[in-house]
Amino acid sequence: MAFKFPRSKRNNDGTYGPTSRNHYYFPVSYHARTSLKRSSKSRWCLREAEQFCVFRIADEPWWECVLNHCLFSIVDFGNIILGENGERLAAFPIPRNPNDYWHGYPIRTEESKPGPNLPDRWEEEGIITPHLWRKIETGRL
Amino acid sequence: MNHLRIFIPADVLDSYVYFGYLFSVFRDGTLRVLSLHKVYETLVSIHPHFEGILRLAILRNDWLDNSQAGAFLNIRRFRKVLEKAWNDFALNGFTIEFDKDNNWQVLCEVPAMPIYDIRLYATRVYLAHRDGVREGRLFFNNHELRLDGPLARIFDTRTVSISARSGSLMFSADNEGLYCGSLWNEDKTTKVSSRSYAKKSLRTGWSSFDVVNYEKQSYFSYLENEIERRKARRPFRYSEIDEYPEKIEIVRIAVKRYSMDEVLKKVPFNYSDVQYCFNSTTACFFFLKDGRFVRVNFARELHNEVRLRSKIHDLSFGTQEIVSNNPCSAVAFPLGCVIEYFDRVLLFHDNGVATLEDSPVISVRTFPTSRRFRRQICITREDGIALHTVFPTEDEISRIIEPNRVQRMAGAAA
Repeated sequence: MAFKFPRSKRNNDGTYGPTSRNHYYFPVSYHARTSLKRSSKSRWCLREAEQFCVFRIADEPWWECVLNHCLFSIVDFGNIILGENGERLAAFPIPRNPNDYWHGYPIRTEESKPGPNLPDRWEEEGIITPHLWRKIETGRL
Repeated sequence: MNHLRIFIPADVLDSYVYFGYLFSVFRDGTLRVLSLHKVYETLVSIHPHFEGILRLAILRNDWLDNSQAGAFLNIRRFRKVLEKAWNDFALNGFTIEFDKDNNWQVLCEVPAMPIYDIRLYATRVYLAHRDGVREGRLFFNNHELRLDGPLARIFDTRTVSISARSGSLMFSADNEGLYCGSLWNEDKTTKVSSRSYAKKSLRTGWSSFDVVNYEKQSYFSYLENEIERRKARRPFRYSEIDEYPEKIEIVRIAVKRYSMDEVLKKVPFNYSDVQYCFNSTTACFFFLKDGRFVRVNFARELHNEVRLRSKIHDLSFGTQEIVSNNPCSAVAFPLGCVIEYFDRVLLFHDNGVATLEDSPVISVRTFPTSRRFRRQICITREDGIALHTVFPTEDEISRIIEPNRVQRMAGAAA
């Protein structure tokens, strides 16, 4: 069955959340799908509420990559395309101050990918299957 | 399109066809081999009337596209009958199970799992993984295949891809760079230089004796190498029946470097238009952001400057919707290529597109330099190994029959 993002409501200050870890997500404008195209900024192909859902998927089980100091997220075994260039992974840098809002963007693994511990954990927990593990590790996703 | 599919269920991470064997790394951490002759015999016992076709598909692809094959396939009636029999037989494909413990022979335990790449070259097996590269020498005789000693660690940097040509191996170590190993030494193992030839390398391709280094999936640099013809005996051994022996040694890597911009100088698009690219020995293939899939041939200018020709060959075949997706990997195939997408594998061949697999796969391999298996495509899936053999197209047959005429025509057209 096709994956469906649960509904989320935007707060008055433009944030989404909180998650169970009391984190708020703030969708930044330059990663939005309607923003002006910039070579250094990837763009989501998801709505803001869906971006928050992608963030929550990573935040609640705490899919942290210590190497990159951020959370990585993947949805429904990578079947959901997150970015306009076919990105299936997203990164959420850990804010410098614990009370800051979170933001995130879709990534391709040829440019940035989680360190080896996270894909190993994902595979052990059944989040990804071997073909995805190989694609993430060798920069082909 | 006429491709025959044989599926072997197995719990594998990667596979490679070499010397008449299927080499597979199993998820239990073993490197195992299955004789293709055993696959052939088992299928013949079930379908005795198709013994000839099975022999061509599994064991002797060279009998489909050598000059003798050309003589037979030039007889139009003969070709039609053979093609019809092939198509009838290939219609549904075959699934054939082999018991892991009784049929698959264990070659060794793989010391570091999981692996990123497997390559068999010059009677050696190379395994790339997180801890580097391990090498094992293969020992063959008529009835036995084994490893000549344990796997040796020859390189200790995380390696994601291996390619080989003329006794040289290129190890792509992602952000750690690109390294070269050579078999032209008196040691028993491959000697890997400590020098990195590029800052980043995801994979490499070969264009004649030069290396095309892919720093991104959409960006490469061209490294021209210096070669020498060797008269002395080679210090390593090729597989006599499957590899074409070469007496040329690559003595210096990256004597000259060309950026992608320089190589694309005469092509009517630039690197920022490229979504994904790969190469064969004679051409570069580009998936462009506007949805086109094109081939551009290499050309060498008078002063030996490397560049691509200006003429573009469109390979989209009206499938813009498919090719506009981002490929995960791609490999060259005689007169075509095989493209792995996230959820399917397609064969671009004979002015058309055929679906080889319609679910995600772990790896796709072709063997264009092999003598006997050059028409085979080995696809490793999460539930097993799919071996596809492609029947030669009309165009290929005419090239086999009259290679000089085709060259003359191409020359005239150019």
